[in-house]
Amino acid sequence: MNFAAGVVVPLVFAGVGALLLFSRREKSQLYFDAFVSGAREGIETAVKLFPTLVALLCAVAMFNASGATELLAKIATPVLSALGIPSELATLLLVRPVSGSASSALAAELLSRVSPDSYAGRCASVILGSSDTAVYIVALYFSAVGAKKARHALPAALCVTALCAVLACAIVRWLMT
Amino acid sequence: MLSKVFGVLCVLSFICAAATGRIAELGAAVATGASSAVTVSLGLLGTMALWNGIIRVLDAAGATRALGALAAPLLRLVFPDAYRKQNGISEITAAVTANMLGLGNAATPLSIAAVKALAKNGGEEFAASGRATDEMVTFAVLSTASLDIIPTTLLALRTAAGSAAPDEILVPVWICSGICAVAAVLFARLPTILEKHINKMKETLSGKKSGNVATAKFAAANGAAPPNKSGAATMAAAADSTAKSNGTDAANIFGAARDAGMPGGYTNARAKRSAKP
Repeated sequence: MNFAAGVVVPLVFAGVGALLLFSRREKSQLYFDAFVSGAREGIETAVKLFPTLVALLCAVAMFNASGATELLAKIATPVLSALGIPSELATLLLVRPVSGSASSALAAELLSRVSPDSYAGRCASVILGSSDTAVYIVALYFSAVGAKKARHALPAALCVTALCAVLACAIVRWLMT
Repeated sequence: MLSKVFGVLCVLSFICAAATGRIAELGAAVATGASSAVTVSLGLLGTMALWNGIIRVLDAAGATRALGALAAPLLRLVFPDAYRKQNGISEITAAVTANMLGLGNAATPLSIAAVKALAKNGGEEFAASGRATDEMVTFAVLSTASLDIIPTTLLALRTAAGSAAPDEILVPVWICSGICAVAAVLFARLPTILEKHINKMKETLSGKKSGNVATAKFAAANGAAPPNKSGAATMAAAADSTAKSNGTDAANIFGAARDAGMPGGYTNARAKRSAKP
C-alpha cells in the first residue's frame, strides 16, 4: 500500500494549489486568509498542548525509568501478543480511552523510542488516528444533556476502542509489511 | 481525567522504582522528560500549523458541505428516529463532518448540539428518567471511532519523530476507523435488538394466540413503510454482503435486526430480494 503513501499529500496540495489558482482573485485571497488563520490556530493548539506535554512527558519518563513500563508490558504480553498487538503499546492502550493529550504525549514518547516506521510505531500511529477518548466523550455528551443513565454507552465505546486496537495492528500487518 | 493519569503515573513509578531500587534514576528522567517536551512541541508546531491551514481552506471551499451531502443519507439510516422526527439530522451531520475534517475546536460544540437535539427527541420520557435513548448512545459510541480524514496531530507527531513517510498510515487509519464506525453502530444497537428479539421469541413460544397477534402486528408494520424505502434496501444489501464476509454471526445479528421489529421497509426489501430467482 506504499503507493498511496507518497501520493495522498501531494494530491491534496496540488488540489489546494489549483483551487487558489483557478478561483477568482477575491475568492483566492479568501482561501489564503483561511489558510493563515487555520495555521495560526494550529500553532495555538500546539502551544496550548505544551504545558500538558511537559507534565506528562516527565511522568512518562519517570514511569519508564522506574521499570514500570516493562513490568506492565510483561504482564500484558500474553494477552496482547495473542491479539497481535506489540507489547510496547500496553501503556498507550490503557491511557487512550481516558485522555487525549495524555495519549498524544505517550505516543510522542513511544515514537521517539521505537522508530515511527517500525511495526510498533505504525500500530501506535493507526490506533491513535482511528480511535478517540471513549470515557471523556461519553462523560461530556451525557453530562451536557443531563442523562443520568448512560446505559451501555461506555462499555460499547470501550469495545470499539479495543476492536480498533486489534484491527489497527491487523491492518498494519496486512498493508504495510 | 488528565490529572488522574498524571497522578497514577507518578505514584506508580515511585512505588516501582522503590521496589527495584531505581529511585535515583527518577530525578534524571524528569529532567529528560521536560527537555524532550520542548523538542516534541517544536516538531509539532510546523506540521500542526500547515495541516490546520489546509483544512481551513478545504472548509472554506465547501468540503464540509460536500462531505455532509455524502454522509447525510448514511446518517439517516443510523439515526432513523431523528430522521422520522425531522429533528437532529442536520446537527449530527454538522458534527460528524467537522470531526471528519478534524476541525477540533469547532467539532465539540457541534457534537453537543447534536446530543441536545437527540435529547429533545427523547421527549418527556427522557426528561423524566434521564435514561439515554438508543440514538444518544449510538452517537456517543460512533464518536469514539474517530473518522478523521486528516489526523493532524498524528501526522505532526510522526514528523516530529523523524518518520521517513509520516503519511503512510493514512490509508490504514481510514480503513480502521471506517470498520470501527460500522462496529460502533452495531455495538450501540445490539442490546436493544437482542432485547426485542428475545421478547419476540418469548411471544412465539408462549402460545399460538399471541403468535397470531404478533404476525398481525408485523403485517400492519409492513403496510406502513417508512419514507426511506430505497435506503432500507441498501442497508439490507449491505447487511447481506457483511454477513457473507463475516460468517454466520453477523448474519444472525442482522437477521435479528430485520426480524425484531425494524420498520417494515427492511422486511419488504428482504422479501423482494428473496423473490428474485
